[in-house]
Amino acid sequence: MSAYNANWSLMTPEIVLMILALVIFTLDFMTGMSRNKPFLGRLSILSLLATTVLVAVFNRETGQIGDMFVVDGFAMVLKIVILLGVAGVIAISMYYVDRHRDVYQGEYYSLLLFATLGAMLMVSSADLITLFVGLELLSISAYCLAGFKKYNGKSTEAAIKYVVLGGTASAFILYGMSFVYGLTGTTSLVDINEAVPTLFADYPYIMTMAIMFMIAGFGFKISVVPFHMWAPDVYEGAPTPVTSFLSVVSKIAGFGIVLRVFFVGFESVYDEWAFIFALLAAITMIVGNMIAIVQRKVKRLMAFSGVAQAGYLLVPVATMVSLDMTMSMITFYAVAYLLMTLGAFAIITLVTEDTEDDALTSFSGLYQRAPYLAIAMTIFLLSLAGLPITAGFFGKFYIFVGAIQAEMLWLAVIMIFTSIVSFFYYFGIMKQMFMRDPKPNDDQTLSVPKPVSAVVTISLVGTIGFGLLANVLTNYFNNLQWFF
Amino acid sequence: MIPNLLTWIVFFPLVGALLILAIPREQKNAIRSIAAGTSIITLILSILAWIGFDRSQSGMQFVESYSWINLGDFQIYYDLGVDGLSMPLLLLVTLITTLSITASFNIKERVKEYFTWILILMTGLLGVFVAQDLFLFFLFFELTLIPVFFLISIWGGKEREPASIKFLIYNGLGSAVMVMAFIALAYKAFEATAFSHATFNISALADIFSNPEVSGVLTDSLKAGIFLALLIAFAVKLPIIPLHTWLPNAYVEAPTGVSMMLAGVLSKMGAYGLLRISYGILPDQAVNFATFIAILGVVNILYGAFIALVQTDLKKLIAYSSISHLGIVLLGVASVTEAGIQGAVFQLVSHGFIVALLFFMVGAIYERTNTRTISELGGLSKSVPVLAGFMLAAAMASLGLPGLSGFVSELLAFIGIFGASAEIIPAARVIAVVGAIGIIFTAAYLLWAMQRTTFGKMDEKYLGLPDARPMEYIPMIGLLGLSLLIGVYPSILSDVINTTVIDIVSKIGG
Amino acid sequence: MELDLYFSNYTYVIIFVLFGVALPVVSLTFGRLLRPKNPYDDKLSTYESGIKPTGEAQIRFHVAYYIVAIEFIIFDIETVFLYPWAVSLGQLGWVGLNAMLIFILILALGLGYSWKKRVLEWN
Repeated sequence: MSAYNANWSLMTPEIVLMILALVIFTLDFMTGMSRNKPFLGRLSILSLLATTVLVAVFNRETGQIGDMFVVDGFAMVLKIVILLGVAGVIAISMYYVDRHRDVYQGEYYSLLLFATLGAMLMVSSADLITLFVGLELLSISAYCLAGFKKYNGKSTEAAIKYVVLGGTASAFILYGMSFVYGLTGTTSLVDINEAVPTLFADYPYIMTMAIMFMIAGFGFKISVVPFHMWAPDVYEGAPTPVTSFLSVVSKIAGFGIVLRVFFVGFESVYDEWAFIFALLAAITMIVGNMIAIVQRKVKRLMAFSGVAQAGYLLVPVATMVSLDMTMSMITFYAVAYLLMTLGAFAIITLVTEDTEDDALTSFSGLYQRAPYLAIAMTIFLLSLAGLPITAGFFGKFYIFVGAIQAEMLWLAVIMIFTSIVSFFYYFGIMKQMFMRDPKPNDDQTLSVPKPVSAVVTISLVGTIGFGLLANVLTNYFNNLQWFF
Repeated sequence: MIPNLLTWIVFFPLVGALLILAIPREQKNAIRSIAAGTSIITLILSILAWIGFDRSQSGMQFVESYSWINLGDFQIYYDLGVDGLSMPLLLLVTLITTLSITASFNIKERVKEYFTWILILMTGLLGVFVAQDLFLFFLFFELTLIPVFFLISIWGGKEREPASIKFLIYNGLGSAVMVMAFIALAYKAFEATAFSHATFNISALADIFSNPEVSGVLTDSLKAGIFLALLIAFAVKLPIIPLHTWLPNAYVEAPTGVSMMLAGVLSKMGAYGLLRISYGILPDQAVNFATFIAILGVVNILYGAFIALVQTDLKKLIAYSSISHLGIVLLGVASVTEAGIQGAVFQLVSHGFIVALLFFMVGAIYERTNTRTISELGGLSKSVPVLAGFMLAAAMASLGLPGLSGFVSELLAFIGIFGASAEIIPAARVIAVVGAIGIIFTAAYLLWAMQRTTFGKMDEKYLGLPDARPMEYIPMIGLLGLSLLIGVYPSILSDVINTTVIDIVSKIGG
Repeated sequence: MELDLYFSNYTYVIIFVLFGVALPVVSLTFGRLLRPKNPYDDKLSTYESGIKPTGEAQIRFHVAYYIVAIEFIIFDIETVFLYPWAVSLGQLGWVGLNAMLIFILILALGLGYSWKKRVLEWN
């Protein structure tokens, strides 16, 4: 297929978002150096929502532009998740950047939009090169965002750590990809999938090594153990809304690329790599949950909680019975994860900003200070812990059913017992909120700015709604054509 | 009859909870009356169900079944129903909760949250007893964890936080084992039917597991493994020694109203699950495990009684007596005879009333004297004669005085275990005799404790204590009256449970 | 694709590496063996002839150097892209022209950005 007769309309959402991002970028530098530019935030949210609508319209049917750009059920669902996630992140950011005069607003929003563009490209491509371009667009924007409080030592440290380790991870991915290209002579995942069974038979070691390199690199992006070391430091140092971006959008997009590469490119040799993911999932769940218990800072705690959640998300990757079911499980949990994590981060941003303290104790007495936030946070934490009646509860149950159906009992056992371990730290936050008095020097009531409360409310409705009416999503997913 | 009666019963408390959330927290009396009103309406609804219940049928009644979530192969249904086993327990939940709410009117702090959690807990408990789909059962089972955690850790005693975490972790682990067993059940049934019947429905699973044609996949060792896992899961809730260590802390630290709910209803979930799911789906394993369960029952009776004997704290004594009394349930269940299982259900209901009353009395006395230490109490019959009288009556009911409900249930359970066939439990008589000795100890510790608290030398400082308030008469008379009612007129209960018990026993073939 | 071929391609790499290592080692060793050895102070200074260095070797460059360097590289690479594009513009046609225009437009925006941010001003 040549560039002339390609169906460019498939790319409409991406093109529109790119233009809008450039417009916002231009508007920013054309309007001078003043710090406060709330209209850019509003404009960014509008752009994202418009793009979401475009995705729903133009990505309904599957289609492709070569393998470079494909549109299928998987791409559409993940794009919507990513776009809405970023919209939420920007809503939180609008509150945050207002309070931080050292964060320059215009670049902040356009970087977030460019990162989104990268994430959309990542989930919508079946070619190693475009996948990597998308990944780098996301990563480089994220490196900048992590260091956005440039007069703050921790933020700078976070950015440096992130860029050095992230660069290393990218190098690993590229190295793995180059092996695959070297052996197959193609970068198209579909062609790779056809070629790998014989290659695995002929050169098992090189293929395994290539896959291991890629897993190590992707593992870094989705922060699974043992590639998770950057997460706590970067999460802690980065501005809190950026932390939420990293833990929600970046992670979901990272899962998107993992699923795309492995379920499209290496699906024919599933048995060769499934056990690697099973092992990774197991140690990720164990280590993430165990280390989270001893955390005393809420952002570090959320970092390890995010590590543990990535472990749960890896379980269905390793326990595939049918591709459709696995995809349905992961996507359901990803949606649940988006809602509960974003909601939790909205509240964390507000609380840590208000108390100017990111220790767990900054949550003390939240129920007295802002009852609605405390109740919402409780629901998000219950969902993260996998208790009813929340989307997280059903999502975990679903994954669990899949693990037993695949007769991976040991993994199921680890998953459920580490979930119980997670009660310790999730309920620890609840303890602070309900069973401690507010600190004397905090305001007795916490005022909730509108954008944050909107994010909290939407996430809350979603978390409970998909807990009760999970059938809405599962029915839709069950009839979806995941891969083109 | 009201359509979707069970849904109304289960979710009405939740409606009340939402209503309370909408009220400003300063209006404590409005909150209290809404809580009471909600529970009373739920009680009335459940009495309607009790009246409309067809006593001649053994199957599920008031059935509601709607397709809910599609998991690919499996389809989760919103399946509700009651039979003779769950009907009395459903009524028990609404009764105890209503009385516990009345007993909690003296809660002064954070009234709004307290009653919200109690009502959420009520929904969870009611749901467990009517759910006929394993997922739904699990959902309600887990739902009870959250309110109890908050109720203990906010309104509890001095050591409330460790107690609540201990409760959460123990029961969380129990649920974890349970959900594994559930999915194993469902998946193995799916496999056994050559991947044609994917279901979480309890009775559908029971049919598959009892079908001799599909027994190829369902080996005995597999069934035994699942049965054991379920036993462990329910043992945590019941609790069975040695998985009971969360119980004394939780019961003692919880505020009175919550202790009543915990001991009166929450512990019944374990026994109910054992009968409904373990016995319902794997009846042949019930026979294999009968001796084991009977021995566990005896251990529970004796261990609970011995530990209770040395307690210095009155509330702890009752907590251990509760362990001891639930051992009788296990004995009755293990016997797999009609009398035994009927006795077990009787004991569940009767113990629910009695232990709730005991906890209420301890709470009332603690509120006045500020101590629960037995040696510091004494002569209460002089200072607070009415309270002391009711406490004595509760103790009598607990140790099985004829005419009160404890007697009927213990008698039935022991008849059951004495009559158990020698093939099922080889030394049934020996076990029964040992168990009966435990009952003597029950009498010993209860009477001794009563002697030291209600009689004996009165401390001067207790002289001017106020006696029972009008509000306190409601739970006292209500609970004692119900115990008396079952004691003198047992067929009010046995009518309902009889057909279902016969059905269970016939399936087991004991 | 044959694995032998895959590995045999690496033979060139290995030979290259070997030569790369051998060349300085051999030449320096031979030089050391052959040359006369007569060190004195002037000869041991950093530069045998010229001015003696003063001050620290590690000085801090003005940050503007880096930014200008980055700007330079961006447009340098743009030029690298432009050459092959210009050569094959005949085959690429309108699509090719549009693609390059978009590319240049994005770069121009970047240039405008750095202009507005006073990156190009030197003070």
